Formats: sequence, C-alpha cells, structure tokens
Amino acid sequence: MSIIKTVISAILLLVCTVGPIVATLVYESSRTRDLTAEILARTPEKGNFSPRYLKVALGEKIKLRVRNVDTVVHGFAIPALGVDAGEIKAGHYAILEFTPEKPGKYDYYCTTWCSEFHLQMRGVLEVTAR
Amino acid sequence: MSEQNSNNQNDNDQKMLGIIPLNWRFDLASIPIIRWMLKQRWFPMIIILANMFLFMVILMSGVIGGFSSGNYSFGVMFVWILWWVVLMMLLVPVLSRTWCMICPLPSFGEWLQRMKIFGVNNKLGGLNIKWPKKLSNMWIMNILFLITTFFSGFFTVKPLATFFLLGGIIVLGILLSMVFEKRSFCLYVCPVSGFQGLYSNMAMTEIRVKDPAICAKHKKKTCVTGNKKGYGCPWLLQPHSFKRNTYCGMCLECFKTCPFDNMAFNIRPPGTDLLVNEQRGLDEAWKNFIMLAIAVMFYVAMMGPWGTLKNWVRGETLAGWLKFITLHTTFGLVAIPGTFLITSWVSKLVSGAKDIALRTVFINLSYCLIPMGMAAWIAFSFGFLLPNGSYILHILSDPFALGWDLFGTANIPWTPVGTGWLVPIQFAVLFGGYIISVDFGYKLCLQTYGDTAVAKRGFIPLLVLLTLVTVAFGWLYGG
Amino acid sequence: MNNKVSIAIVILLTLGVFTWLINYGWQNRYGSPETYEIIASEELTVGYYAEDLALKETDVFAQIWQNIPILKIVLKHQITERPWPKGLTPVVQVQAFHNGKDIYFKMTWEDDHADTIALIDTFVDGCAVAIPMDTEAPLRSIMMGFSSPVNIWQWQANKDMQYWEGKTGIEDLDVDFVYPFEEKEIFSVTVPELKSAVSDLLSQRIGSITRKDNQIVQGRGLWRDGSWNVIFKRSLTTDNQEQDSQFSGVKQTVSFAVWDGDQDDRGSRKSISEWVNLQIQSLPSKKPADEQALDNTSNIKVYKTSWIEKLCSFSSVRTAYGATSQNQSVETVKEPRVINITAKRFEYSPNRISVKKGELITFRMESLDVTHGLYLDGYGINIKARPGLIGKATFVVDKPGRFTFRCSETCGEFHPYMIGFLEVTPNTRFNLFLWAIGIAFVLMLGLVLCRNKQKKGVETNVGTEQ
Ligand code: SF4
Ligand SMILES: [Cu+2]
Ligand SMILES: [Cu+2]
Repeated sequence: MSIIKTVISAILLLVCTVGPIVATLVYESSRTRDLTAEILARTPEKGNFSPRYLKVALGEKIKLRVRNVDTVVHGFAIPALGVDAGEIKAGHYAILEFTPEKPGKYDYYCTTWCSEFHLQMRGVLEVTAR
Repeated sequence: MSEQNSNNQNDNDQKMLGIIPLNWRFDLASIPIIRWMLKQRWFPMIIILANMFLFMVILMSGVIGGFSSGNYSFGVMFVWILWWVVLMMLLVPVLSRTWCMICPLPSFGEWLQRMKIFGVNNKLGGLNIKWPKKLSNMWIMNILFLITTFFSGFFTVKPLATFFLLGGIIVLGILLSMVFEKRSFCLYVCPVSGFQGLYSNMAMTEIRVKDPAICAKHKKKTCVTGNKKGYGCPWLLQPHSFKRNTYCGMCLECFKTCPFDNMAFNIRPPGTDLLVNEQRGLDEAWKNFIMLAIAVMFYVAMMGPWGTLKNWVRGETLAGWLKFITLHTTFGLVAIPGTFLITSWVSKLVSGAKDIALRTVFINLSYCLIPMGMAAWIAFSFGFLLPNGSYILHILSDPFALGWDLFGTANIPWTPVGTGWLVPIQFAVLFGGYIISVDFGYKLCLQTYGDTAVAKRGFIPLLVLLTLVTVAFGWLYGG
Repeated sequence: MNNKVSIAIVILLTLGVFTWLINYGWQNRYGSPETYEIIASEELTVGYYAEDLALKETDVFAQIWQNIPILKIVLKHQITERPWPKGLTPVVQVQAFHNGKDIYFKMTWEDDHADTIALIDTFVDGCAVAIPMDTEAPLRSIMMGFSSPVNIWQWQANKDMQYWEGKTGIEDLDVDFVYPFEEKEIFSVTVPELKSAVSDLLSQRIGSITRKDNQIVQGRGLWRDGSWNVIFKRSLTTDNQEQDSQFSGVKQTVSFAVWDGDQDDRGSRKSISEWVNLQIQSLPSKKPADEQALDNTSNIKVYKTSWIEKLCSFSSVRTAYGATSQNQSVETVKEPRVINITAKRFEYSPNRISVKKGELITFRMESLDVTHGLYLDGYGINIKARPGLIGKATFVVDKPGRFTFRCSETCGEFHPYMIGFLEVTPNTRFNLFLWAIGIAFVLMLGLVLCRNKQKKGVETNVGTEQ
C-alpha cells in the first residue's frame, strides 16, 4: 500500500516538474519537423537575423519560420523572390513557404524600420544548382 | 451554522461602518464536505502540484523562451498581470493568505525536509536550527521587498529577470529549509510574505479555533507537535490561540492534527484583525509605509507619463537608477513614516493624553493605513489588468512565443478592456478604502486612548491625514 | 554527519543548477547566443583638386577622374516603403572632389540599356545623392529625411536628354518623384522650366518631397559601354542655408540611390545605399575647418526648427495619405486644433495634453525611432506611426476627465509603460471624487464630534455615509 502511494507521489512529482519541459520539447520538435530553417529576427545590435546565411538546393520546397524574438516590430522579405511576410510584431512569427526557380544568392531583409542599423538587418539565402 | 465568539478582547460589540458587527463569523468548515476535504492529506497538496506545473512553465519561459519582449512572455505576463493582480485584488483581501496555501515556491524545500509529498513524517530532515530571535520580525522581509522593487524596471519586463526572481525565491527556500526549521523561510524571508501577512488583516477569511475551552483542556497540543495525521504547525505558530491572520500560512495542517475538529475556517467582516492588539510593532508599521510608497512609486514610474523617470527605473544609466533607488528608499523609509510620525504626535498632543507613549500611538494608528494601502494597490492593479489583460489570452496559447496555438487564442491582439472606466473605478476603490480607513482609524483611536472624549480629539489629525492621502492618490490616479 | 553531507550536497546542487540556468538564459536572452558586429559606415574622401569642370560631354570622362580613388558601394533594395523595386542595381562606384568652390560627385553603375524616355509605362534611369541638412542628426535619418530634412539631388536620364540635347520625346509630366507613385495622389502637372538635368529637392519624411525654389545643382550623365556615368556639381556653400546643404565642415554624410528604368524603377522603386561618411579635405587657403564647422552647426540649430515647421505646414496636405487614422469622427467644418505629438522610446512629447471639452482636435503623431502607436482610453482611438510616416486621428473630445493614452505597438521592453495623459477639462470626474471625499469628511467629522459621552470603548455609526 505504502509503495503504491510512493509511486503515485513520485509520478505526480515528475509530471509536475519535468513534465512541462519534456512536453514542450516533444511538442515543439513534432511541429517543426518539416521546417527548412528557423530565422530569429533581432535588431542588428542584439544579434541581427540568426542565421544570416542559409543554403538550400534548387527545387527544394523551402519552409521558413521567422520568429520575432525582439521587442520591436520587424519584417521579413526576399524581394528578388517576391517573398514577403509583412510586418512581424514582437512576440509573433511568420511561416513562409516558397520554391525558388533559379539558383543564385538572394538577400533577405527586415522591412520595418527597427533601429539605427536597420539597413544592416539582412541575410543571404543561397540556392545552389544540383 | 454557528456564530462564533470573536477574539477581540475589549471591542466585542463594535460594528464595521456601524452596520456589520465585527464579531460575525460563519464557519465554512461546518459544511461537512468542506471539512472532509480540508482534512484530507492530498489537500491542498494536489493544488500545489498543479501550481508547480504552472510555475515550471513560467520558469521555463524565462530561460528557454529566450524571448526579450516582456509583454509576450508567459512568465512576465502571468506573474505580473495575472498573479500579482489576482493576489492584490482577490486572494489577499478576500481569502487571506490562501496564496501561501497553494504556493509552490517553498515546496521543494519542504519536500526535502519531509522526504514525503503526501504522507506524514514528523522527523524532519535538514539541520532544523531555530531562527534567530533577533530576526524574528518583518524587517528582513521589509528590506528584501524594498530591494526587489528597486529592480521592478527589470523584473516586470524581462523574462530572465522574472526567472531570476522566482528561481531565486525557490533556491533561497531550499537553502533555508535545509538549515532552519520548517517554514522559517516563509515566515521571515519571503518577500511576498510580508505584505500578504500585513494585508491579510483585512481579509474576509480566517482560520481560528472554534472553542478555546477545548484547546485549554487538550494538553498534548497536537497542532503544535504533530501526530500521525499531520505535521505540527509548519509556520511555527500556536494554532490553538490564533488571534491574527498575519503569520498564518493556511497550510491546513491543524485541521488534520486536531483530534477534536476544533479548527474553523471562518468567513468574517473585513478588517477585524486590525483591532487585535497582538504582536504589533514597528516592523509591521514600516511594512505599511513601504507598501504605500511602492504603490505611489510604481504608479508614477509605470503609469505616469514621465519618460525621464522611466529611464531611471529601467537603469538606462547607473546614475539615474541610483537616483531612483535613493528617491524611492527615502520616500518609503523616511518621508511617509515622518509624515505619519508628525500626525501621531499632533494626535497625541491634541488628545491631551499624557500617559500613552508616542510609540504606541504611532504603531497602533499605523494600522488604519492598511485599508488605504490596499485600496491604492487594488486601484493600481486595475490599471494593469484592464489595459493589458488581453495579453494573458495570447500567452496562454503561445507560452514560449514559438507560434503555438494551444487554446485558439494566440491571435487575439492587444485589446484594452474598459479602460475608459479605469479612472472612475479607481476613484470608487479609493473612496471605499478611505471610508474603511477612517472607520478603523476611529476605532484604533478609541483602542489607543481608551476614553471617547480623548479619542475624539486624537482622531481629528488622523482624519485629516487620511483625507489628504486619499485626495493625493485620487489626484495621482486621475486628477 | 551523514545528514550534514547530504545537506551540503543538496545546497551545492541547487546553487549549481540555478547558476547554470541563469547563465544559459543570459546567453540566450536574445533568442540565440549568436552575435553580430555592426558594420561601420564607409568613408568617402573628398579631396582637394584645383580643377574646374564645365560639364561638357568630355568632362564626364575628364582626366581628373582617373586620379580620384573610387569607392564601391553595395546597394540594396529599398524595401522599407512600398512599392518595392523589382530588381536591384547591385553596386555603384562613387568618386568626389572639390576645388575650393564647387563640389563634384561622380556615380558610375552598370546598366545594359539606357532608358531615357519617360512614357506612361516606361521609366527612365536615374540616380541621386542625399545629404542631411542637420550634420548632427543620427544616421538613422536615411528615410527621406526622417530625423533631419534631407537635400536630394536627383539626376534623371530624360531630363538630361532634354536639358543638354534638347530632345524631349514626349510631353513630360513631372510626377514621378511624388510619393508614393501608385497611390491616390495629388499630381503636379505643371512642367517647370528645366534649369538643370538634376532636380534639387528637399524632404522631411516620406511623402513630403518637394522641389526647391532655387535649382542650383548641375549634372550630366553619359551612357557608355553598358555603364552610366553621372557627375554632379554644386558650390560647396550657398547663401540659402535654410534650403541647401552646406559642405563647410569636415564631416558630412551622404547616401546614394539608383533607378533602373528597365526594371520599372521610379519613386520608391530604387536601389539604395547606407549612409556614407564624407571626409572633406580642407582647402589650402581657408580658415580652420573646425571653426567653420562650429558656426555651421549653430546655423543649423537655427534653421532646423524653422525648416521642420515650414515643411510640416507644407506637407500637411500631402501627408494625408501617410496617416493611419481609424477613427475620424469629423462632421463639422471647423478646423481641428492640431496637436503634434512625437513618440520615442518610452515617452510621448508632450506627455500631458490639456484640452477643453467639446474641442475638435487632431492628434498628429510622429515617431523618432521605431514604430509606435497611440491608444486613447475611453475614446478607443488607435493611431500607428511608423518611422517616417505620420499617424493622425481627428475627433471631438466630448468626455471630460483625464484619459491615459498608451503605446499600442510593441516598441521595446518598457512599451507597456509608454504612457501619456489627455486632460479634458473640466475634470468633472475628479471634482466629483473631491466632493465625495469632502462630504464624507464633513460627515464623519460631524458624527465623531457630535457624539455624546458614551461608554468607553463602545462605538457606533462612525463613517456611516448615508
Ligand atoms: S510565504 Fe512566500 S514562499 Fe511561503 S508560501 Fe507564502 S508566498 Fe509562498
Ligand atoms: Cu528589423
Ligand atoms: Cu511605443
């Protein structure tokens, strides 16, 4: 009897302490399985886009998640590919899906004035021919 | 249903606002199912565990959210919008220290002491050292709470800072419970404890014995020593002679240990404990002043329009931040107590009472600031809740800003609710606080000076002060 | 003993885990530990050369340009404002010098086709130099003069044809720098007399670009072997300090833009550079440069405000489309009282606004740094001001009392505390409150004082209101 009680206590304890951590990790990894990459958006002085360089093979369907982890409004766009997420508010995110047709280097930019160094907020998506 | 005898020694037939008799009581535990529940070992532990789950999410969002915008962080919003506001507006004023009943912060320490979660083990681990007598008061909590507010510009906006605060409380709880006995940490250190203790004097619930006569005959006092059914009071109190809510953490152990079912969970008129002259002291008086000062300071810094002050508070420059803490400390520790000291002095002078120490007047009368301070805090909390409450819906669905939508509310934008009514609501709350303050002010005067005629005279300066304070708060909140 | 050891272990473990978590959180406080080093502005040296160019065709390739160092500047899509460019001119080569009297810029970029004719759906090549009027303004002023008015010299291929070669091609409507081109717009259909191939413009913010009265910049461009070569010429300083940028100090900043007609570039569809620092080498025979710089700045201080005001009044019509007012409850023909509000992190200026009940007012808000909003309690008005654009709302203040307005666009960590007060007088709510308190005071005082001798400790009715 007392063993059962101990086991129940232990299980409850684990569920309430380690539980949320494990649940979060599992849930998140299942949600992001098909992402090509996740791009964090911060102002340049806080670290800029991360990553700032991405390489994909031509013909691959690209799925990006842009997360604004900053405290100001950012944007995300690849003008040369006609990709635009519009404004991404602080604490929000955007999912972008597209398939580039030509190989090349495409700049991605922040589209909302976010800092004195806003113009430096960009990165490169390289599409390589197979 | 049973109407209990009040514990108030000499003010037995007083009435609140002249209407509600202060000794009216209704014992919730007289309802069998409630008493049964209160006596179960799994209660309130099961709520603590659920709460623990929530706090783990809060702590996690502070660290792995890695997310710098406070208003979209689960931790920051949950703690400072929901928890704080609910604590100030509901838990403390109505339910006394029920928060401490379900608080998960000291639980790790307590479980380590007990090595049991639900069961009883009165041989507690840890060093079990007695808390030093000199520190057995509110001063540590006063100072710690004041210091915490120095960093309010960080804690309330930065997820990592919120993590640091809550995590720090947990860690400190573990360390202290390893060294000192039982809930010494909660009693003397936890920054959340002090104001809860003080303001719970206003609460509308209490845990008391039903019949002191039974306790007097019960020589073993199991509520202190513990037995197979439960622990001896973890808060190091004598449940059999409770008089005030201040130091009772409502852990419900005494319901379990009492073999005569002599404990009651009473509903009562608010504020009755203000008149209980027991364990009053300068530490509690100062807690009062500090709480008032913080209410003012928070309002000015967070809901005022002055950008310079905001830059000080958020520590843009060290010099500015130092200015802020100096101003804040002086205001809370010197200016407000000073004003009150002058008032008490004038009150004593006008009353003509010779044989009462100024110190007694000062301490006793300071308790009438509690309703005032509470009203100020409730009004302030409305200013947090109404404009920013909608963030809660967002963060519940997307706690780590990972784009989740657990409950379908992630896309609800920031929507202020009823902010047009904010100022009138604040005025109403302040007015209520004023009336109650004055009411208890007079009663405290009576209690202090003893004689009606003397008390009448001594009351006038206090009335003037309370009026001025109320007008000042009204001006600040909407003038 | 064993007990003590386990206690010590627990304590150390707790502290260790906590420190590790804090450290991890600190590393990841911006989402990931990756950092970025800010790239410093590029420097363009404006050397002194005793050479005078008359802008003859040969001057574009004059010998002197061979001696002047070339700065290659990477251009980027202009995508802060819509519409965006469809293509990009990746690089422009820039040179500059002065001869003590005039300053010269030369811009060279590759373009495999010269577009010199403007038609309804055909656009011309062009380039521009932008110089902030306020040399002290922070570098963020890139966007058409966001924090300082900007003097823009815009060269366009069609005007070059017209001015230097007399070829007009087609009736030329002067509309394409009026911004934004594709939205509802007041078109300027007058064709001003062409005094130069370069338009000398001023702008304070998006949507405020305007042609100056005195067109004093000259320029000439030639397309050769797949490249445009354009030179600009203007006197270093002018008499009109209010409208012309001055190159009298050592330092000045400029930025460059290129339009490619092939790719439908015009207006905001362009490739732009970041700000470049000009290092103006001092003249052999002039007074010390920093002294000049000093009185130059003091001049600027004077004209800065006046210019902003002038431009504001000028652009009040044109900025209408820049506004994002959502709550326009205007029925009257009355002129609203305009309240100019600037927003920066985390304060509005003015932060307390006092108006009379019944007044018709317009909030006209401008941001000095990032996107801000303004939500007015009680009135439900919500304005958004992106940097360089103005947010507006016009409404009647019909509710008395003090109302808080708060930022509605997350703009930084103190964003929830970004607050201002609108005081609509008379503040009847507060007066009511004061009356209530006053009456309660008198009542309670009276109740207490009128109480006759009672038994000690017995207490009734104090504080009863009704
Ligand atoms: S005193 Fe503090 S730690 Fe202890 S139960 Fe109350 S809030 Fe929690
Ligand atoms: Cu950005
Ligand atoms: Cu803002």
